[in-house]
Amino acid sequence: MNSGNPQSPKQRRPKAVASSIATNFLHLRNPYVIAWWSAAFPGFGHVSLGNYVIGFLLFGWEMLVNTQSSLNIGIIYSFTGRYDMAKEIVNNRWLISYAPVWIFSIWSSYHLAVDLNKLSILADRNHSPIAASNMSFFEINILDKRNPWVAVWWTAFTPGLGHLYTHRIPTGFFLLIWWIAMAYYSHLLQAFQYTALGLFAEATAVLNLEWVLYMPSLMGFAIYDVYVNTVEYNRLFDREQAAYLTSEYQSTEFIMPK
Amino acid sequence: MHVVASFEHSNFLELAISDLEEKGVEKNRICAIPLHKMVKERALFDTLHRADGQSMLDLPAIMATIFMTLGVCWGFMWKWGPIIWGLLAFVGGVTVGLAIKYLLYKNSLKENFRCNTEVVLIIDCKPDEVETVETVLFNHLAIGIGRKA
Repeated sequence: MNSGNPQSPKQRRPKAVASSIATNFLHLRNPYVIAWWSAAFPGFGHVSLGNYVIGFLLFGWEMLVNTQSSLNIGIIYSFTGRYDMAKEIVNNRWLISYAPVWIFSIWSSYHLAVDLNKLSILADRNHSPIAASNMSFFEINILDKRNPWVAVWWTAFTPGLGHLYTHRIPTGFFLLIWWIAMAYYSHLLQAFQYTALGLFAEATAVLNLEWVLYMPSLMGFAIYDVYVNTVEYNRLFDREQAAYLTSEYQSTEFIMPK
Repeated sequence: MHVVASFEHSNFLELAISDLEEKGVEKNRICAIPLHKMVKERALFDTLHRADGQSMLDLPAIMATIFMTLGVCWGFMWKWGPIIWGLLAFVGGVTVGLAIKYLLYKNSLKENFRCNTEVVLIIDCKPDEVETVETVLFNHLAIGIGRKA
């Protein structure tokens, strides 16, 4: 590493780092909202902040323990007053390991949001540089103005598509793959078809309780996250362009109108 | 002579500047001044060109997730099934969330007014360039264009 040479303030407190598959950046977050998404689905808070590795790990842990312990079925039974059935269905061998990691993911994402907010303010005050684009053999990532409602619209059709539109590819693929898996195992689309035909009893029967209960959280998070990211990428674009224009097009030789 | 134009931040603005340079207006005759917003930025709905960090969608997304989860759970026991109840609950959650957000921010909305100008561009022109410069600016989505003799 660059031993001996102290880093400049701008290097120490970066605002945004662009790779060709996504721009990871700091902006002000409400830590309670981040904590909520971690509670809804461990991993989501971290993914939203841009801590992908921790986020994906926690998400994988949640899927493993939840499916093995039949937690979702237990939740449905509990919410519908069938407490004895809930007690019977859950697998304690797995369930008891759930609480610590669930609480960690909430606590950790809350604290990360608070800390990253401080760094975001420092980066803003340093006017840390923002890369306007990054191209590689694999992808083309260009900071651009995008309409957040278009992103929400695509996400409502299939979570992940909006993230591909706004070029946050890790989140996009992650949501897309899990949504497809959940739609398949829950028989969601078959139930949609039955519902559209008015066959409500058949729709209820074909659905897989356990898998369908994952989907509201995933859909809600996807819509929230794509909206916030599209809006914040637009602000990043404004800042980058303002800095560029100020440095390039304010020549001292320019003659102002007299 | 000077031509003045107002713009929003966009790639069209950079295209406009590079187009002017292609047409012989040197760099030191172009002055771009990005504006700082003087009003407290706070709008109910973010748009393509403005956002205030106050996310309009956080509460609706949270409410929708909670309501939809409950709608799916209870829908298994109700006649229309989990799909319809899940969707109805989703819409209900979004509506409740938006309503709360709207009530919370209704007061601060009053101080908001719509002003899109984000960058002012001033070009020092020779008299025979004015028409060309104005056409270029007009073709790249300038909000307003003016000139000073």
